[in-house]
Amino acid sequence: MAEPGSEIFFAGIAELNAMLRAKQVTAVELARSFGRRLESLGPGYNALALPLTEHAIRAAHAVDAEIKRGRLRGPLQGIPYGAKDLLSVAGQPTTWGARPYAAQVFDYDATVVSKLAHAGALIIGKLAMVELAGGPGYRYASASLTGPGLNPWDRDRWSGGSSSGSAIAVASGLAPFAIGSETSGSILTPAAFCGVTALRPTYGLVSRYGAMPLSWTLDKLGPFCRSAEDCGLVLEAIAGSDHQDPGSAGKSFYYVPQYARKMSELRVGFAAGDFTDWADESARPAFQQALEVMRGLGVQLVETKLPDFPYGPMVGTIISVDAASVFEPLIASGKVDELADQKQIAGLKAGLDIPASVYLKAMRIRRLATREIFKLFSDLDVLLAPSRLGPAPAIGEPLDRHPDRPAPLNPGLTALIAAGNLAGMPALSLPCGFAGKLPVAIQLAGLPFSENTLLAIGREFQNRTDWHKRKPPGLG
Amino acid sequence: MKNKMTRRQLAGAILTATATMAAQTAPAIPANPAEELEAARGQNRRTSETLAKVPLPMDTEPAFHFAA
Repeated sequence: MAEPGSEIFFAGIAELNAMLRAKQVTAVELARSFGRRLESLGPGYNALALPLTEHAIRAAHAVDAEIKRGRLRGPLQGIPYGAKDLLSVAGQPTTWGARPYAAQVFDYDATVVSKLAHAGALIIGKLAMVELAGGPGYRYASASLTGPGLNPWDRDRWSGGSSSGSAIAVASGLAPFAIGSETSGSILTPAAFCGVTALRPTYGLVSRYGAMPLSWTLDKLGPFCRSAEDCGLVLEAIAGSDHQDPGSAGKSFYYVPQYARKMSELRVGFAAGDFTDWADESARPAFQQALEVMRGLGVQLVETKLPDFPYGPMVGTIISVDAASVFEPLIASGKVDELADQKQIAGLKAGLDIPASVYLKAMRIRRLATREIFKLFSDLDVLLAPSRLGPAPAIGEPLDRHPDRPAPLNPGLTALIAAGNLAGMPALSLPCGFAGKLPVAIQLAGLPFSENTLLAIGREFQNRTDWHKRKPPGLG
Repeated sequence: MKNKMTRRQLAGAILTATATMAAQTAPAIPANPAEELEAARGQNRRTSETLAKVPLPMDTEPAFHFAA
């Protein structure tokens, strides 16, 4: 059998699985081809934390034997993937993207890694990330053990973080899918900047056992993929109850596109000002076009806005206190000073001083805000907003500086990332065009456990657009 | 005991808090670790002041779990 051609690198999961079942390619060939590509191209984007090609090839031999015997496990059988380096893989270094943990090794697999192995997926590498998943905040893209994530569409731009390598790997055809994490924006941001589809699941739907903790009531794991369809397939494999995760919702997820509601029945809340007044000028044409495509699907677009709450201060306080508690031994040892980003070092230290009363105030406002946000859904099925208001910033640009222009009066849904994370809501990021040569994206967010509705809209959107199929220059 | 508050009162108070926050301009980038730590503490102070302005009914419990 000849080595597979370059067409496999941007193929979807169903396509690769069909090739495996038709014996046009073997799992060993897929593991070897993707593994080598990740090893050769990944470092050029600072996307690779640890290659696991040989590990994947060994597992692929077993998968090929199973397929030969007719033991078919499902759509992920024989599909390579990469995992953010905050997920433990037994016996392999798990650095959390941070120098103080460069030699850390766990003797067990994260639940997500075990579940994917059970589905027959092949881990080809650990993917780079912002140190400590961003901790309480960082100023520069260089806040990583592996250096700044470079955007596959323009290496002078940032990939986004903290799941930098996960987004780069999928955008560049280094892996068919990848697993990342989000506490507040770490899946949606790199997905938007790199032009890939990604899903932040409902809090508690995917076990975090074996993942680095950052904020116990906010951390979530989710997939980066080529399409909404693939996100559904991966989520079905990784979701489920886990007694080892205290935040587990005790629920499974079944991807059921056949039961999708009619688009004309769906009411989609949006704020027009997000797409005009708030959006970066260069991104407005793409966002306007995305709105038109949404209208074309037949959904009912309804003007709305988030209830007025200080979402940023709430999420900032909760993450700061949780992170300072998680990493208290690091701070006490002095090794916190080995981190790359001065703002993160200071934020971790200062987090220890935040009074319990302030933390509890944030958590109490959170309950009120969540209740008010959920009331929006008495009249709506999903919320729609730009994933990020503009394209990726330049490498070296301070990330905590904001555009020097007056903020529009109506905040619309601009705080949806913070609000959605505080309320435990799922969100799907869909590439929707370009600002110059850089991708931009929209997000759909819904009530907890409404993933099938988000994916149904995402699938229809991607049936009418090809932004998710675009390839970065030189990588096709 | 319930500390009742109308939606209008709540929205008004929160709007004031968020507007104050938006009006604050970002300070200059700190030059050294000591300044950075002071900046982080200053940020935490401003954040807690913003949260303090949000009125809460007494019976509002912290959010620790989520349900469908």
